[in-house]
Amino acid sequence: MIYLNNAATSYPKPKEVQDAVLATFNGPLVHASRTGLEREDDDIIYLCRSRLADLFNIDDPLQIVFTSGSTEALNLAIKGLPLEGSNVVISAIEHNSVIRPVKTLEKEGKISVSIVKCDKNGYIEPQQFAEAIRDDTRAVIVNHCSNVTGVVLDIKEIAKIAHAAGAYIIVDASQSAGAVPINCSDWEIDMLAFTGHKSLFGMQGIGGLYVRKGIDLKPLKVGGTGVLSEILLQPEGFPIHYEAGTLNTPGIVSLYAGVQFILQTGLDKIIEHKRKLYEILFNELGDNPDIEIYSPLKHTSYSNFCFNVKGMVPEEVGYVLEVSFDIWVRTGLHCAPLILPFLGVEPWGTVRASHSYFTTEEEIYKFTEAVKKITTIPKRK
Amino acid sequence: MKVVKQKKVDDCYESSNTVDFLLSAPITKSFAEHLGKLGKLILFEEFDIPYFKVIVKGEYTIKGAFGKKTIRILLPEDKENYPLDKLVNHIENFIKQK
Repeated sequence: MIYLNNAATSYPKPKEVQDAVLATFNGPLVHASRTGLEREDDDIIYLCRSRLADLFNIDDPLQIVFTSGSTEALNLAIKGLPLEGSNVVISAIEHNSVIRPVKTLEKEGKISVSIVKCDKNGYIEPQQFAEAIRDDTRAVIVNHCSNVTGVVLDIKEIAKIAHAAGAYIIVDASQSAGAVPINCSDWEIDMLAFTGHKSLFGMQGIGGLYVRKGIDLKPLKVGGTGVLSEILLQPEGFPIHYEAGTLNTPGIVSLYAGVQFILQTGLDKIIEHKRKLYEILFNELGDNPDIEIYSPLKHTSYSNFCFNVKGMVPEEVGYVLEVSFDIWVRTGLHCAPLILPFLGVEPWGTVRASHSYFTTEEEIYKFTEAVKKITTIPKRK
Repeated sequence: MKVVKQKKVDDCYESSNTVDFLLSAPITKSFAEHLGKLGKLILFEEFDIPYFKVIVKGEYTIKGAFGKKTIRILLPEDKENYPLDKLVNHIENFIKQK
């Protein structure tokens, strides 16, 4: 099987991740406050926060809250801020993990939502956010990297614009974390939501939210924390105020191992490998008159190749790739409905092939040959 | 050939009214040709694993590949509970040809 659905969830995971997760079954998962400094794994939760802080350039690892993934992290950010009565600016390249929380608050009459348009590849000039911001805008929520086209936005500039207007900048880094550089300190990001199971190579069910110091969020949930049990209200402070319930320790272990793998391999090396594969995709299919490509040549993560075969619905292309060539891609709307009209792909969406550091050139050539064969299928008139 | 299981394909990828049939045996060329009696058979034997479509005009489209045990049926978008009995009967009437 050739797996080209890494934008959904990465496969395979590095061997280090597999080994680390399996090791969690070899003994009890102990709380960090238990005795035994000789155990190297007793503070894996803090170590994971530290490595994430290294990767995202975050000053204080304790400002990272673990969640089940980006969706929970974004819900915490959006519902935790006092946004009632204000305007929220989002972009047309958002995933439903942003769209649905803000549209729900809008339906409840609590906020208004403005949507910034994108170009035919999903790119948005930072200045477009300045034009969308109103006097009552309190938050700009933006996808760093589109899960559809792989386009990457200039978060540093968008953050400057948001802050100049007195608004928070909340970044959805679901696709970009582990795929492109992120610098929370330099870019002055207020909140960054990420998931562990994509380019960070962790397992499903783990993610997190970085919250800049000084921002007070209302927690999504309260309950047991394993410490300060005498207090009848949720303990204050980061990250405990936001981490009620037993943490997903196997998930955190997988995330730690995944981030360690990225830091040890080098993000530059990972990006360069994906760039080479991206170049092959464009060289092989870019001039094919039967193929329409929506992914950009610049402002890209080099991770997603988003296309359609002219005259064919994407569902059929994906189906044939799977049943006749054993190649797994994703087709359809990609849970990002606002971008479709800008790409001109309503109502069926696109085919998305997303490679990873572990994808080989040989696999990419097999994919491009398969797509060329599929273009021979008779087209709809 | 028997239809062992029917499953509605329901996810966020597409909004299609789609059903998968799990069959009791792998699909052969003669089975694809048998399905083709329902409408127009289009066969792509040059693919790594040969792929076929049967278009039953105004009703549905069947898709599958040789060696697999699942076929996909794309039903009209506006007919949620499309009757599939006739298709199931046709499949179960297939007699393996050597």
